[in-house]
Amino acid sequence: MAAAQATARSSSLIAIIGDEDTVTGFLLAGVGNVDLRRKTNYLVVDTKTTIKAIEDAFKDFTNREDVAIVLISQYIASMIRFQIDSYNKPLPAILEIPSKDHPYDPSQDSILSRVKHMFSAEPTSSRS
Amino acid sequence: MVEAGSMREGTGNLEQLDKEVLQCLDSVHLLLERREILHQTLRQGWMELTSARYTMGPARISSPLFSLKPHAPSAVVDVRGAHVDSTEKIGVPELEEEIAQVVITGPVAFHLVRNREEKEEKPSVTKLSDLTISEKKNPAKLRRRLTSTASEIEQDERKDRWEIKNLTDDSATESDDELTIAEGSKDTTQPLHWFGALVSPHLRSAQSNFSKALDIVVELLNAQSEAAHAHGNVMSLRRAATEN
Repeated sequence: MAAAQATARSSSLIAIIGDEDTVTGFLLAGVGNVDLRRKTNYLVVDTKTTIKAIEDAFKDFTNREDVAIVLISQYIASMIRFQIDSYNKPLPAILEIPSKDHPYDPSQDSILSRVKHMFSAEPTSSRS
Repeated sequence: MVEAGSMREGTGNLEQLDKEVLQCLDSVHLLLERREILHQTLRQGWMELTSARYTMGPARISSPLFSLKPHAPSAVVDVRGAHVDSTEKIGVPELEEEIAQVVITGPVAFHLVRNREEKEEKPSVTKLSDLTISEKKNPAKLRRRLTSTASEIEQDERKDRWEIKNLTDDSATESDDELTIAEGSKDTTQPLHWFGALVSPHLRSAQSNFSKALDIVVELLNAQSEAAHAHGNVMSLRRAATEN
């Protein structure tokens, strides 16, 4: 049983899946990356984007070694909710952000719902 | 005696549980606070972006204009404080690597690193100063336009060569600067340049808003990571308490 301390990843990328304005804004902030194979670290989702394309981009970003954070607009995350909920790795970390036309809904936040469940489960356990 | 020991252990567990619950609630509080600030900052950014689009035209700020030339990001993230537990040596290095990546205990801390922060504003200022320096050093070029005889041109060229030889030491650094500036002005890695040489000030404001948002995103993720870690600890302590 050898416990080794190590920095997990350094100089990692921030990937984004969002609407055009959100992606444009974060690219202006300097997170955009295009590698030699012209592979980008962002996906602009519009009305023509299929759920399959979003799923593929999510899988790709979460499997990439050089990505530490995946930002995803909440309304897009709810399109692939099953995949988001089944994802449980610490890295890359997923963060759901609001989008221009869809304000943030705290009821869909996984951490908040877990904490809520933690306190709501208390009376049930004390009764039994 | 055994009962007293188990009582002490029980109270120790309860104290630990309280501590973890408080930690979790603190993180959630921070999370909610940062979420609100993030929303406000993003809203301001979208507003500025819309204003810029109104000023410059809808076709001037759109996703087809994003540069697809290979470039590195100016903002990256360092992941710190992750403890990797490699439980046992298997003998197959590939599998060991896999396990080491999956088993990460402790809250993960993110740290935003910006590579080139103040390069963007410099080119226009230095360019002007360089132009004035070059005008002072080469007044002959201006004169040459007026003169038309071949002998005068030859003389001027000789003079220029001599001056260049004398000034090589001084001008070496300046010419380097000029080169870098010329490269910088054509640099597609600066996202503002994707949308044109002269962009709306609203676009610059949007850029600064989204940069702030990026900072908040990192703080938010740290809070989220701490909350998730504390939640995990609370659940495991509870399970241990119910088993006892």
